[in-house]
Amino acid sequence: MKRLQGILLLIFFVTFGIMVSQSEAARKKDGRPDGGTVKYGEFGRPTTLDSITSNDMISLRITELIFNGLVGIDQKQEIVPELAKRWEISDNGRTYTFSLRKDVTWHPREGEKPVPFTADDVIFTYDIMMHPKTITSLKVRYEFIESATKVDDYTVRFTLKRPILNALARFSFKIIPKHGPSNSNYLTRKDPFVHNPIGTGPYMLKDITADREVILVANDNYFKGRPHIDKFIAKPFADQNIMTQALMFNAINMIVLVNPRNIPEIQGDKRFVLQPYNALSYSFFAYNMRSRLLADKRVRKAFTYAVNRQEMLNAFFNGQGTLVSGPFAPGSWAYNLDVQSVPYSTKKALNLLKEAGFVRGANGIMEKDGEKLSLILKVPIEKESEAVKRVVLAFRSYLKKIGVDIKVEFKEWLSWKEDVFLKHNFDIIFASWVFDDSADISSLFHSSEIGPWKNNFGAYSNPNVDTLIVESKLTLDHEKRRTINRKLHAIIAEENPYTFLWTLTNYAAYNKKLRHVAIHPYKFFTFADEWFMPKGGRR
Amino acid sequence: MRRVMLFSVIILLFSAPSYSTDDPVKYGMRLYKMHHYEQAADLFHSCLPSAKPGKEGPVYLSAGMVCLKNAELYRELYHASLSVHVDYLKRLSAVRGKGRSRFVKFYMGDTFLEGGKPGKAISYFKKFIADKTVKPKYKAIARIRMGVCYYLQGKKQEANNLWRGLKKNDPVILSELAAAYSRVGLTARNPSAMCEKALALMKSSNKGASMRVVNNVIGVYAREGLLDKGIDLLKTADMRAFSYEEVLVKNKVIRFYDLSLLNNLSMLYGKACLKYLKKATADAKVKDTAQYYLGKAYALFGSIDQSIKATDSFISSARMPQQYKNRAKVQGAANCYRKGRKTEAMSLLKKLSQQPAPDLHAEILFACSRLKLECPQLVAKASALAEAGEGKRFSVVNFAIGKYYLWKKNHKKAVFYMEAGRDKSNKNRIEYNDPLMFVNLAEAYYRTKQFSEALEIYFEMSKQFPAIRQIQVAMQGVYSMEQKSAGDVKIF
Repeated sequence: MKRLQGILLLIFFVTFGIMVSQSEAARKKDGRPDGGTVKYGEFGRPTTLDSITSNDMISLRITELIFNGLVGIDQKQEIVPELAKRWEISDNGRTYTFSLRKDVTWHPREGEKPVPFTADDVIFTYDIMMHPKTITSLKVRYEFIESATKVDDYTVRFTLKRPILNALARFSFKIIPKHGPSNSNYLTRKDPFVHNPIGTGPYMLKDITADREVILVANDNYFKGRPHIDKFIAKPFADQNIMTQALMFNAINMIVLVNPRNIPEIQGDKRFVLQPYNALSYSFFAYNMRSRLLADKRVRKAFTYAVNRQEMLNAFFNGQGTLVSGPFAPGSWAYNLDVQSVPYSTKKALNLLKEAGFVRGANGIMEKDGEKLSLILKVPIEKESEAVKRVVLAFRSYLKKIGVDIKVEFKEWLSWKEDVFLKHNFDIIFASWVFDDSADISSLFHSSEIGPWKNNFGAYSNPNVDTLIVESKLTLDHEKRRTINRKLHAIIAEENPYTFLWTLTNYAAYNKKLRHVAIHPYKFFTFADEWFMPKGGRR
Repeated sequence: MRRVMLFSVIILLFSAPSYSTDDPVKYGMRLYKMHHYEQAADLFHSCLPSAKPGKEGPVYLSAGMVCLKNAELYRELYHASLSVHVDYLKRLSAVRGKGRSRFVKFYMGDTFLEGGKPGKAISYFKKFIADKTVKPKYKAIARIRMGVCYYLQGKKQEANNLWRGLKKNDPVILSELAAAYSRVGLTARNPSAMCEKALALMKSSNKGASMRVVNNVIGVYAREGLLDKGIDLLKTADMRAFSYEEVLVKNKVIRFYDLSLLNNLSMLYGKACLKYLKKATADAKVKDTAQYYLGKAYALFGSIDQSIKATDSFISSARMPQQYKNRAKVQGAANCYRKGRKTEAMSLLKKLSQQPAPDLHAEILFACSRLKLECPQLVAKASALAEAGEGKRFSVVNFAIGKYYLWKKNHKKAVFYMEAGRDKSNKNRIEYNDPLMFVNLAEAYYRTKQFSEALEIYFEMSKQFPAIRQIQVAMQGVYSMEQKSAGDVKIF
């Protein structure tokens, strides 16, 4: 009996010892405390929560917390290992072989044991991403890959069609589990996985509340060590002023993108930190070139001349931004400094419409061959801030001056996305693009990107632009790429598939109690597992 | 009360509730306050001849202050440009194959010449000249600049050999030669007359203005003190223009800029500033104030003895406010340091730092950064002051701490402090932020590889200061080679 007791005790101590050592191994060794909740405000809701089908910034930020790529980028902008612990690149630059970590598990679903991450998941992710029926804008960025092969359970090999610039960084695409989606061939927005995903990242999706709050909890088994903050809650707001008030009254402790009008209020309050980040974004009115009226470049150019963008920027955003002249943001390396913004000129606008064959009808609306220049502008209701509403109404009013009738329709976010990206049922839209630093505009303006859920929703097509885009991607010469992008900028600015508006300043605001906050300018939460709250600072 | 009286001229100029274009001085000072220094300098330049007799003093003072700011800013931009260009050109030099630039060697040489390393510059110019594919005209330019390098090394004979026998009927060659003579002090060869001829040749050739000629002539005019001519030339030139465009292969074009442009602009405005401020000292009402700025201006251009004289004169004036006297004492301490009396300088700075005035602490730290003087205790004091205070008054001390950390290469801290001093509501607008702070903040962002933040700052600044284009292009070049992203774009 004594012997049995001894064995039981031994088993207990060994088991306990393993538990303790596992738990210790999962903790970060930086001496910073665990605990606390980051409740952050978003202006709108995410469409999907997976990394493949999502194409909006709110979703992207959440996926950054849930998933990992094979490689990542650190705060010094250097490429660092993530799910891959090391890699080898062949001399000809065409083969990338990744050795995967063996200590990674997928977030467990309720009642299930954690499943290990393996090479099968990497191959699965690549295959499902590239499947013709998968709805994603990522395909165009990974067409340079010829094949993905599993070498063994923890080794994968990618063969490229050709060597490309910065290829390694491209392997930062997020890996999803083979056992995740219900359809293992392709991924659509109807798959339950896109609303209830599991990943390998620092946070696990716990719940989506009736108020559409997305609740994420710390992954105790995160391979980089348990993140310090216990919980992240994404709280959607329909009004930016209310979001700021929520911060001021401690209902939330972070805003990822502060409304420029609210900056002085936050700046004057010593409880908060205002942190700048440049996400290389710009706002625009985009035209649907499927419309006969808008297919004529002169009509689109006339609209751009008719709109006083500087006046709008000053009046509605307190001048807190910069006018842009083409498809790249001014903070980008690809921006063509020689292309000037189209100046405001009603006279030039009217001349262009006249040149395009339009004459004023009896009610003052321009007409051509009996067809009135009457168009529908669609705006997502989630983005219906006071400033956005003013912008679209001002746009309508400017165009009225040159005899264009604009009907503004505010649509619910998902319905707007369907109209724009799926049905292409619009004449004009108002929206913003946010870029990472690659200045890749292929998904926006290449003709192969016309189609359901693709980013070239306006069906812009110019063989010259297509050629330049391809050439820009193919070249390994940086200066050549810059020259090509300068040309692209000039051509697209001239052709006006969009009326390019402005880039607004970006600031995040957070409570000072939140420490060690580093923000990725595009993905935002990349370094969130290192953030912490001192014990006294938690509510 | 006393302070208000003593700085009455400036306060009067600043306090106008609205400006009128009918009163150019008020308008000019308004522009100064909005940091539109070039516009203000241009305005003063055109209104100075019509200043009423007996009332020129305040006009000269205002013009001097504006030009001093311009000179300081262009000096800072020049250093920023040098540092970015070294990075950019090094990367370009590393490119091999048929798309390789031939002119990068020339511009590497130029960068080392500007950076005060004539020996290194010579080796690059030699390589450039040895390239058989380079046209004789550009080889001639390289020979002229190589001559400058030799001259700076004391090898006058080698320099003269290189300068001999060059075609002087080409405006570019002629202006290059003029700039070289002027730079090494060979004024007897009459570089300004050569410039006149170069400009005339350029005009008659109908080929349009060459930025290289414009830059050379501005440099000569600045050194020779032909300031009116220099400022007139600036008005007609496109300061964004490149000096050479190299077309390599299809879809590969590299644009190069003359780095000396920003230094020449600094010199031109610096000389103008000294001229105007000296004239202002003739007016008893503004004499003392002018001495204050003269002290700073002389120090900026390395005339320490004259700076000491002007600064002492200001400090000894009974009429001047203590706040400004204290700031002048910082200048005095810096002069003292430059004269080799380091302990005395440090003790003076420490004594001044006992006072809790943010502008004074800022002045002290600016001096420390300029002199490359380690002063952790003074930084700690200033940081505590900045932490406790808020509002626009404290933005200058945050800038000064940031600048100190930038010199110390602690770029993260530099960003942190300068961001604390930045007007967030008007993030990129020079009307609300000191352009000097912007240049330093952009440098700190560049060093932390946050290129887009830096480029956004320069994009906005370039609207007022178009010569910034050269920094933008070089930085975009480095950025394009550094960016490592996967390539993504999302709808907002």
